[in-house]
Amino acid sequence: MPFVRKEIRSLGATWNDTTLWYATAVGKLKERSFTDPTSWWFLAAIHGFHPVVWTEFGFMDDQTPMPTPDRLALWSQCQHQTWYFLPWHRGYLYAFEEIVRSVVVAEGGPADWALPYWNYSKDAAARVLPEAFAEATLPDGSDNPLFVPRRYGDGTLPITIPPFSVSLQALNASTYTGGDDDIPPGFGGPETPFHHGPEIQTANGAVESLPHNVIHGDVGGAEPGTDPNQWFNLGLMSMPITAGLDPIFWLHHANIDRLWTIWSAMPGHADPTDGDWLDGPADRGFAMPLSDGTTWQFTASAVTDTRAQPLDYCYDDETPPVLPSRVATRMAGLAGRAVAPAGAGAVREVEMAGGDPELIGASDGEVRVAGRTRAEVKLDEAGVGTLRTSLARAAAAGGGAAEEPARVFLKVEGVRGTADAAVYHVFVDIPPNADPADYPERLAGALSLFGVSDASAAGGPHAGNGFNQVFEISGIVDALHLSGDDLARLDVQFVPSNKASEASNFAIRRISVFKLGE
Amino acid sequence: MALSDARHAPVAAIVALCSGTEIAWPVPGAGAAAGHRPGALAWLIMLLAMAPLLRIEVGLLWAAALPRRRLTAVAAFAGAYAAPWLALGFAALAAPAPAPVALAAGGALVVAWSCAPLRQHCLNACHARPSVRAFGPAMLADAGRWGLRTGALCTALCGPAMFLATRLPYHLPAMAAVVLLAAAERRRPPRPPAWRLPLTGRPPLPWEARIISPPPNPAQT
Ligand SMILES: [Cu+2]
Repeated sequence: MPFVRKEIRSLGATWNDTTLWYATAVGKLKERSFTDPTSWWFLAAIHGFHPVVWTEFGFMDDQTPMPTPDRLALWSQCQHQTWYFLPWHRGYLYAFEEIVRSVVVAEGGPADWALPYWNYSKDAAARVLPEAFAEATLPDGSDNPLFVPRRYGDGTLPITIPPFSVSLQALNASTYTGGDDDIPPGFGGPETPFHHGPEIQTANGAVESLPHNVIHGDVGGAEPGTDPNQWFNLGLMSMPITAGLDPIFWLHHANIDRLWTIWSAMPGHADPTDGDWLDGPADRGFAMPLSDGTTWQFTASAVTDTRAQPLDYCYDDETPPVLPSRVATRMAGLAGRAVAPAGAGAVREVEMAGGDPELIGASDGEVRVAGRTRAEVKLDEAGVGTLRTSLARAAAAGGGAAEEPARVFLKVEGVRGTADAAVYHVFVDIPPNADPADYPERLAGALSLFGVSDASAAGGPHAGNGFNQVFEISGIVDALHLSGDDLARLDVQFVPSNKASEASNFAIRRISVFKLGE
Repeated sequence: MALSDARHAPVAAIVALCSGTEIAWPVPGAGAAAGHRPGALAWLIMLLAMAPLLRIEVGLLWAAALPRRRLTAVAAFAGAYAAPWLALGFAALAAPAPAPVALAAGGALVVAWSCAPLRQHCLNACHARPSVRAFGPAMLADAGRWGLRTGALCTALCGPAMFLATRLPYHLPAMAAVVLLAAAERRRPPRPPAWRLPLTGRPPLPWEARIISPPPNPAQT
């Protein structure tokens, strides 16, 4: 019988047994030393660590003993903007849960304790941070180990996630691995080695960008009234080097892990079968401490099935949400119908058809974003010509086209900055001073800057080149085409998604538009 | 065709580069290097042997260009990249054969340079990816600037060793060795500049890499 991870709010009152045991165990782990691989500090540092930042935040000082070099090798393993994002975090979560359970049991708790998850996508009430994490004290009046003062949200309490941030559109991605040049980004991210740097694409996979990255910024935020471009004003969840120090981190990642389980089981979806993924990465193995003092070395192939050993867990809810099919919605839109035609599933997706992405437009070089910002992207006549032909063919066929027309993607390349907590919404072709809320159909997606500081460090693994974010804008371009727009240019607007993001700024190497398929 | 007058070396090099004919190094007087005849062709072969090292930049440029301008973009990049190398090649052809003591001193300088923090800085800079615009002459300017920058960095990084290699008795194997070392070095991730032997040490962990640019001290802001 596998361990069952349950939705935190389905467990009952704020201080239900599972949550209270979690709080007790977190308190115990915090008492352990930095040098102990099963301590709270060590476990958080496996995700990311920075001595200057941890010292400033009061988690350590010059007297803090550091682990031996062989143990330090376990630190800073976190995998972002890569196809290892999901398997690495799954193994990380398993090791954490195993250690927490050992403490729960030692303290007299249930032997079947499992990590709860936070399903913020469930309904409006679920978007509020689970109450147990916001209370300063436990029921017995002692300090609550789950409470973190450095957790700001958008500056208003209780911390509540905005509706678009909990979108499950990532589940619509039909492939796990990102395509050539990140087009499309794929559910799980681009193919990379362990340390993927400047030469290799570093783009967020679909589920990593939304909801994962966005929730990090929405929860962590920046201290109200301070400069969100300075790391010392940010919440723990806002940066990979501190995120693991916030107890909500683990419930957020359990939900992301659950979304992977759901995605894999959906019809037509499959995890990579490529040996580089299953047995990789070749340049540095994944390794986690366990409660018995051993180190568990693992690869992606060891974690694809959560019910198999050693993982041995499942979620209380693994049913896929009812999502409108991306292709069917698009074909209906092109045919001028609101409802997807019957048998729309038979339409062959461009992704499956393959082909190389082609550049059809770009901004005039670098773009600097500071608060609400407009950027013009010029489109190429020749590229747009073939696109228009493709769209016209599909529209003329009504709902009967057998093949999806060319897809269009907006690629925000080389995002650099220091405002890790910021979240921007990216709109295409809305009037300059319009209220973006009036144009939900022109929203291309959300851009979270989670991890941007690391990606911008000149000597760091990204060589200061930043990361890429890809948004599919096929539906928006279809609508523009049908409305008679000449598609000579696209007007891209970056709109801060919350008050805390308004004072943030960042640089973009180039905004590009790619076409996939004919 | 063979020219042995140092004053005609640049002309000879151009002729050789155009015709692909092996020419002799100008060797004033009879010295230790008298028996070796490295030529412009060797330099050109070396340059071509280095071309695969640019496959990453070329691949990025290819994907970032409008389909009909891909070849133009790569040509602008490659032409600009070759310029600093060709300049060094002409200098190498024109320079007289060194005395053994100068050769030894040059060797010591090359070794010191290969361990220098400033050189690691240049290696890190090699990874930087500039913005290349897609439309009009701006694309050529951007691709060319990127090529020139990469070529200048590569010349600064490996040029001294290459220059020295041309002065060694077995210059062809020596030049090949420099190309191989450059290839091994280029694939390594960036890391904080420090005195260290080339190709040694593990790559830094992300937090170590960030320490080279420490976050500003809150007390000072
Ligand atoms: Cu995360």
